[in-house]
Amino acid sequence: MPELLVLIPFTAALLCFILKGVLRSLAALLGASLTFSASALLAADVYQNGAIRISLGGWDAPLGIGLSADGLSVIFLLLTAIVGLMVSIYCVPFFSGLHEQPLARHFWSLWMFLWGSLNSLFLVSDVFNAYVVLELVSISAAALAALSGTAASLRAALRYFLTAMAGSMAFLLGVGFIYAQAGTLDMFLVGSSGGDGPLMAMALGLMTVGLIMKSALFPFHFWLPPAHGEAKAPVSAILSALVMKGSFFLLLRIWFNVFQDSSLTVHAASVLGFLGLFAVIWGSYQAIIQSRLKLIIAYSSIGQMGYLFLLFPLVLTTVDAAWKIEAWTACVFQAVSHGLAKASLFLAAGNLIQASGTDNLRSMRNIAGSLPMTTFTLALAGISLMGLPPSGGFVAKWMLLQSILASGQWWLAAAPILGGLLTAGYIFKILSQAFVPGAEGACCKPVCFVMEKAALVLAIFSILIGFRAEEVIFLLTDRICAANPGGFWP
Amino acid sequence: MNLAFDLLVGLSLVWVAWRIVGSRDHFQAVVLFITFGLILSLAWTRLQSPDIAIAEAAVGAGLAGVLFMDALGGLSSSPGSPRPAVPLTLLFPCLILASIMAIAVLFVPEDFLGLIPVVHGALTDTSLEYPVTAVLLDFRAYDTWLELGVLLVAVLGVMGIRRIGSISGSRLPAPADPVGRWIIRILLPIMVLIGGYLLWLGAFAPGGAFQGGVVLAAAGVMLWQAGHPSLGLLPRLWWIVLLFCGFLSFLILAFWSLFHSGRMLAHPENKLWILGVEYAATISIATCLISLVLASPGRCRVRDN
Repeated sequence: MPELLVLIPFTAALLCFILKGVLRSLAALLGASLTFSASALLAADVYQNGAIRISLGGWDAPLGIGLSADGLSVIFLLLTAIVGLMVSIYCVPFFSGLHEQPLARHFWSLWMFLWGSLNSLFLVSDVFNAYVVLELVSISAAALAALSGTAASLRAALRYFLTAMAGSMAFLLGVGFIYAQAGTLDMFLVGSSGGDGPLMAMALGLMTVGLIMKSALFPFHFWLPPAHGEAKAPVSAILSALVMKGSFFLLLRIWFNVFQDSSLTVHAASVLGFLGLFAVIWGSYQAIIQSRLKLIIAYSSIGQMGYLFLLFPLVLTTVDAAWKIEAWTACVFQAVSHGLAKASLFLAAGNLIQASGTDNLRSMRNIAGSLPMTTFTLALAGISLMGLPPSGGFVAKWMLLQSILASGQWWLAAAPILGGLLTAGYIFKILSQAFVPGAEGACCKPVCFVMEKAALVLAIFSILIGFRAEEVIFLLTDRICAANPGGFWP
Repeated sequence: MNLAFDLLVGLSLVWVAWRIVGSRDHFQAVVLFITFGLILSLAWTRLQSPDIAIAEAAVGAGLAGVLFMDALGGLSSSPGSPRPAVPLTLLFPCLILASIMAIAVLFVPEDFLGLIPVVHGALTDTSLEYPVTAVLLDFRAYDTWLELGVLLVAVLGVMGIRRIGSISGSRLPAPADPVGRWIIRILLPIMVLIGGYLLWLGAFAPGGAFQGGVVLAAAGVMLWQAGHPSLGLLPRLWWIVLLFCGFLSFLILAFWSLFHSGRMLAHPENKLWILGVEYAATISIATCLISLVLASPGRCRVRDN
């Protein structure tokens, strides 16, 4: 039942605000594990029986709001479930520390609200409902980013919030134009009504700009490094692994379910592809020249998100259907493996900060000796980001490179090749410091065992997903809700 | 005549917006923003959307204005600098975007009805008589529920930034002078009455939970401005109950309907249920908005409670 994916986290959110101490942690963990199980059950159901559509309140599509769970939603729901569960486990010891104790109540209720609204976003099937959910996601994400309480984090969170609100406004204007053209708000009805014309073109432009602002695509990336760099480590993990994927998921939904193919979408797709290419190179380069660990990881998000936008030119301009599907699966696969690897990196960075009290790379010497498990986690997640076999990142980048070459747009190949090299550059920059012997007693504070394990599990997942590629590809091709007639499904 | 009035409203909207952007003084900008909200609500009235007009006047002009003024009070205690000028070069991209949108609007079909016939056709199947309320509470109850969630998360976010768990210890403005007290004594019962009336009206005419809740919130904020703790007087548990009851009643309805009929958020036949949800939503909206104002820092002339 997809409804439970929304109901359970919201219930947990209210409980977390009321309860205290151990009871609050129990409620949060119970909510997290129940949501995880519900997501897994839904995924298994969709995998075996095909996509699910339900209408809420017993009111069918044009009048009421529906929820839809197809292969694409299920992939993102599973990503959210795995990252969400691990982050929740990580946060129990993290927020029992002296400094973080007063924040626990706000963190848990905001995070559970965010989880519920992310699940709701991945199940969305109505364009106006998508706007409401986006608002809920942005507000809870910005509030979480501001929890650090320092002036720098408040400024970063405010900037993030204002950018996200501007994106929401653009999206809402687009919803208005869609409604004026199609007379309905249901995504699948709009898609099949075959509306085309200036109103739909306007809607496509506004919604795309709004969503790429939220996904921090170059040149709208300016809010990301401070917001992700200044937030608490688990919050950064949530923001980069899940919240950015939410707006990217919605972009996929509206491009491939709501709008028709036209010459406009083809041109817009090449623009998105070029922006993605710039983002890969620029973001990875910026990551190399940073000296703070969390800023390296934050800039790396800009680069890694850039890969996802290569999907649009590859899918819309390639002629051969098989290569279109390859590009489609490659980019979604990249989204998932980046989510897992990035969450793991941020959690590991949180461990290092707790151990050494700073996230300046130079003062983090000899972490391989004092925190071997965290160092191993950094290396594993790094392997997936760089795209070395057999990780999930390798499968994604390999398929991406193949479909780029098949599509004939060879210049896009600069992204996986140059981007991979630059990624290797900043991962090795982090790891090289790990083995430099440091001064005695420079890194001494103990880190809770659970926190190290949670980060490690996520890193292992980001490698293991490379072995489960077939199931993911099956979900992404055979379990997709029937797209618009002009779409690319075989 | 009507066209002339519409033109006047439209042009003054653009002009006031331009003045807000260009204003070098924070206080002037806030006052202009409140003016903008009032003119906008006039525009909504002209577009025959009284529901949105009431909400815009109360939230956009009223409560947003209070929050801005409050923030301004906090700013003025520190040596403030004039607002930086907005570069004129921004004007051109904005004008281009606006004209593209204006041209696109010309393509909207003139006999556009959208979902209005569908909603009117389904009114016989719901226990509510007024279409807007039926859409909000029944057909698209999921959206309304999530919007209540947005308000709740905004309150939680402000409290997280302030690191407080309740609003009871919030700071108070200086007590009102006798004339102010006299005015409040007259206004307060009237506002509560109007709030309740708007809520009751929602079943068959423009009005409803949002409008009623906002008027009640305005009453609470006015009381606080006069130096009374208003909602801060409540014990924490009661305050939480009031804060959560709107979202919670939708949550209970969702669970109950999911396990009872398998269709989440389907209302039971009895009209009392839907009214109960609406009343709870009104209380929560009022409590959330009052808490937003009370929990916000700022205010230079404060005395500790």
